[in-house]
Amino acid sequence: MNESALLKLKVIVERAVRPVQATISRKKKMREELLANVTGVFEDELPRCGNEATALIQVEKRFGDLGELSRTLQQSVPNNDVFNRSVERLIKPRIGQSLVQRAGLCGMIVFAFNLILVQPLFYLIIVLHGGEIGIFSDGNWGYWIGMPIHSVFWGIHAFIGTLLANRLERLLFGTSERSLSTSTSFAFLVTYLLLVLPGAFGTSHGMSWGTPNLHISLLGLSLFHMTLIWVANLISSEKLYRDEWSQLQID
Amino acid sequence: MIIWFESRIVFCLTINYKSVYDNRMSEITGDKLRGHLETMILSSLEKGETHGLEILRRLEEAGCGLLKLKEGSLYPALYRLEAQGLVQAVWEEEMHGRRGARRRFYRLTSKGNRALNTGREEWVVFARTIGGILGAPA
Repeated sequence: MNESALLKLKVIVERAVRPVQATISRKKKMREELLANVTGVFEDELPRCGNEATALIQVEKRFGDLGELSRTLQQSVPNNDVFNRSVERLIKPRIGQSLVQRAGLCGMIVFAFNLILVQPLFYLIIVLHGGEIGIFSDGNWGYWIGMPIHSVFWGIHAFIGTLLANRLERLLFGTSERSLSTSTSFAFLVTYLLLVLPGAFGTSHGMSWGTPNLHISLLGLSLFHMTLIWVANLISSEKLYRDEWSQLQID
Repeated sequence: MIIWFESRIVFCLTINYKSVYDNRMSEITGDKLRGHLETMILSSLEKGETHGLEILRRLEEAGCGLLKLKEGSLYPALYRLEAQGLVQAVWEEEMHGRRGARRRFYRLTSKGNRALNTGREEWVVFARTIGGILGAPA
């Protein structure tokens, strides 16, 4: 099958799936499965019809009314999808939104999630079992007071992480800015920021880099780098997928 | 099992005879299938796990050419069955040289098996009742 036939089959699928209100992952599943179906039908019909144009007409005919299909697909979307979709809508990149704005939004969401859900849970654990584990006991209020600061800390990390992952995505998987040397310099910079600066800070506060500490830090750093590359890869494949389907002209 | 196959052959031959020579049997489509599609899908999966297009082929084959499904209508039904835990789906891992998208393979779960048996019992009661009313016992 050639590219133009595949594109036309994608248009048929997209006409049915685009109007469906569902999460990206659910629509992705629908698109891929329906595309596999129409591709199979096309391959069945092509030898019978003798030419692509007639085979495509047959595919559409066998597929049924696309408006009706959209409606039945919508009915098959479970109710819990509404919540997932609203969360998704919050973090989904918007047209005209800069990377800094997106990273800021991501940081704010992580901050709010931490403050509203995670911290109260910690408070509850501390109130119930704090005495047993030595927190929230007399003279140990620092833990309790310091907890909201953790929300800010995670928010900042999410902000920086989003910036780094997006930058890395362009450097490793992007079409125009791909550069191995810049990616390597970028990795060194991240290493410097995460390892050397906190190390210097720690030393100035009377801490020293012993071998076990260094090993743990290097392991943590490798994990951080791998996570960053993994997230960058996810962003890249998500971008490719979005471009592939959203640019189809279905009218 | 043999009796079941024999009865299917007789049923198909009768239907084909009627459709060709009598020309009064119409295709079974849309509204007539409503409410039965999901049980029929479960029944087709009894033969073993497979993907959507093959489910359609199995259904059309079992319907002796009279069953005409709009292919798109199968997938919402499959998603509903999956959400109810009656079928389990996995993406194919290898494309075997095919181009295009990956297919999902559906498998009947034990819950789906029970639902299929219930569906069959309900169908027998339904066919007997309506057959009795129409004066054409099943």
